Amino acid sequence: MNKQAPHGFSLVELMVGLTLSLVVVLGLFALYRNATRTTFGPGGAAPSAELDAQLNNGLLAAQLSLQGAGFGIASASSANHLLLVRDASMAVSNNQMTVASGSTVAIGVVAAAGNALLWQSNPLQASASSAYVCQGLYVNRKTHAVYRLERPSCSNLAAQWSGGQWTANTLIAPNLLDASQALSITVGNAASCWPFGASANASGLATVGKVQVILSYGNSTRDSANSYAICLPNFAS
Amino acid sequence: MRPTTPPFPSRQKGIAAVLTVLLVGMSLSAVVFNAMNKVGGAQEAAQTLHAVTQAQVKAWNGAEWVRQYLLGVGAAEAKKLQPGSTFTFGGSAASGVSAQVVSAVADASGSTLTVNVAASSGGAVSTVQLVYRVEGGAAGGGGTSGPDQVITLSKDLNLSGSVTVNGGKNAVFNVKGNVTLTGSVAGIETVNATGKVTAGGSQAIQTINANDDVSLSNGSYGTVNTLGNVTTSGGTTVVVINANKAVTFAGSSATTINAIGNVTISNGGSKVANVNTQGSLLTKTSSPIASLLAQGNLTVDGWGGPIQGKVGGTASYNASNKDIKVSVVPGLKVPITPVSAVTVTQTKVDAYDYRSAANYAFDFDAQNRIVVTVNNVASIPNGTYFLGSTVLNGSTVYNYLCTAVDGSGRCTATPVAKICQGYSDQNNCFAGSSKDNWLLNGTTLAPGVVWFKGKLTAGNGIYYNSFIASGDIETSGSHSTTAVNYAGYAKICQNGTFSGLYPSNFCDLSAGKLTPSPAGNIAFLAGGYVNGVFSGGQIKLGASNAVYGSVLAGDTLTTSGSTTIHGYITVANQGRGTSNNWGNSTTINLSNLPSTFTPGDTSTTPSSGGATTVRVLWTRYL
Repeated sequence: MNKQAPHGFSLVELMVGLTLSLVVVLGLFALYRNATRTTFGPGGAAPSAELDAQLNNGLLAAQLSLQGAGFGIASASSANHLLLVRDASMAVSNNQMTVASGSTVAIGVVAAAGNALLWQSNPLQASASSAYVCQGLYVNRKTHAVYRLERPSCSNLAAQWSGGQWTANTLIAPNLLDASQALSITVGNAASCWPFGASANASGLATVGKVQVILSYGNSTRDSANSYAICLPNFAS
Repeated sequence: MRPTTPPFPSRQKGIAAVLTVLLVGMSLSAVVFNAMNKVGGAQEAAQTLHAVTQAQVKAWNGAEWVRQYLLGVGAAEAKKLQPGSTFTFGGSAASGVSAQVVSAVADASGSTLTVNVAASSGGAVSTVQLVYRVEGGAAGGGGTSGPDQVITLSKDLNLSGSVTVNGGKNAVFNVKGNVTLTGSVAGIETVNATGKVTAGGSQAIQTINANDDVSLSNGSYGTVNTLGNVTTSGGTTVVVINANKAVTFAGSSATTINAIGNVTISNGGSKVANVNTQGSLLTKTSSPIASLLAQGNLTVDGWGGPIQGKVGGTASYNASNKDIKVSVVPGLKVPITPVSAVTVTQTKVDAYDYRSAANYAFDFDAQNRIVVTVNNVASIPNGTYFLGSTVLNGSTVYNYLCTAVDGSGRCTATPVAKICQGYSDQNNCFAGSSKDNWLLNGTTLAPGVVWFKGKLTAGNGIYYNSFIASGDIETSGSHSTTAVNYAGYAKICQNGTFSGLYPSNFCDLSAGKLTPSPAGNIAFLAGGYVNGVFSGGQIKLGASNAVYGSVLAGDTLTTSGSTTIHGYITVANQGRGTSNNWGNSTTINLSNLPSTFTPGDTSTTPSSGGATTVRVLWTRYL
């Protein structure tokens, strides 16, 4: 009787097979761990991409809305129609925000920083100030989220800003930026400015803005410091 | 041989490892796809930002091109721009940039244009909305072809005296506010009021346009257009009434009443021939109504008169009156075009706008000396001079310009020119004047536009000047003022009293004619803004004073006794007063005006070159 060749693996074969697959699986796990870490880990591709995307879109939205500050108000001035607030803190309920604390900062030649900037405008160019609207940017100091605020029928910004409710839109989500990247708002009276410097100021005929807003922030690149200068030509002083 | 089934371990052949590899591989793919997605999103955001920024730069460039364009064409051309007008830009830098006027509001001193400038780049579009203010550069002279806007008041008018216009073409009386006429007006074709009109006098007015109720108790009127109600009583006769609200007619007669509201003919003797209403008609009249169209009901109170027409609602009348032939047409629609609102432009009167247009600007300096800034006067170099006295043939003579004076106002340098003729050479034209309070008396002043800081009391004398004062202006005594454009070439450019002294900007010696300029149409202009606060502006014209030229009062105009003004009247009511109360008779004589005089053109002229200024009032992104 033929002795049948034994089926199955010898112990050696089994050991070699197991070792090989172990190496392969271990290598694969290492690759997986690295891939997930570089993608989703701190400073990874995905959060960085999201952060940069939100900064791009959020700051663009902020700029578009900020440019209308003072629109339609005869002799709008930074003293009366623009308000920089330091240490502002707002309580949120749904998308309504109310000011909990904060102190206003005078806007002068020396630029001052704050975490909320509020302004008035008259988009309908109505004659009555009751048609004015107030808008603003607010940076939460804890979560570093950035919000755009708005409220209608806002005839007196200085008197009304701290009371009542603001409707808020989130421009940059909470806890996306860390403390070093947080947006800070700096406002100062410029000698003269114009968006993108496009006005032939030399002819002395163009009205030039006297308020410059600088939005400083860090993006996904470590220790980066960027700033976004916006000239508000609607303010003659 | 039966196929052998391998024993258990062999059957698996490392499936666990394969499965692990597969699962991990799939997770890895998911991770990578997720990362790709996010990075792709971020790239798109960055690209969008880039494209938007490019578009914004282009749009702001476009905004500047529009400004340059407006600057180039000047204020007069800019006034012609209408909503919908587009600007086209040439050159490769301008590709993708377009601009369109969305609103244009023109007023006396310029125009306010709202322009949307849109620019596209890489699929992104940025639209900047700008509000431009274009001023200045008004052309001198040039007759206006429209109706004579003879009187413009910026607040309510209570007229208990009379206003008569002679020789005006389609004279228009504009009031920003309510008009109450208990006196009379004559020669005025149209009264425009942004408020109510109440007329009790016995006047004839062709057209009344009002934005609020009109109440007429006397007089005869052509067309009455109002956004409000109309009430008539007494002997009022009207040809056509167009009202957006109700009409209550108790006057004498009307040919046609068109009302969106109800119509009530409350007087049995009122004669109304045609009634068209989207409301109901209640009538008490026994006079015939030849044509009635009413969307609502007809109610005849009493016997009534003959009525023919149609009603949409019910008709209730004494059925025995066979002269009432009214058919009921359910759902009847009566088309009535609503009256549109009248607008009265608020004129801004600010003497400081005209300072640079003045040939002689008078002020006091800190040492209480009279300082005269001379501009565009032949024989006198432009500059600032003192007004002082000098000694001629042993006697002290006054009214000389010189470059230096001593403490008592005597010229210490050779006088440059004499600019005023007192009663005699030895009389000072400005005797008694003090800072911000000018007294002018004498024979005449060097011709041209003169500007005073403060109040001017112009007394005796015959003047060929345009007087502009930042305070009030009063005239008294035997006074006559003729505005520069009205006076004409001979009086202004060839005057004998001040030989060689003529306002060079008004005189074209080679052509031998006067070159009019808007400031030269003014006889008196008073009131000015200092730091945004208005002061002065009250013009008081003395009895029987003759005024040849237009009168612009920043605050109020008061006439005493009969006053004749050969020009337009503008009262801007920029002061505190709430209404204009005119109790005296004022005559506006627009007959035989010289060709160089354009009473309505009193816009500010820049001192030199007629430069247009274009300011950007506001900007925003849309």
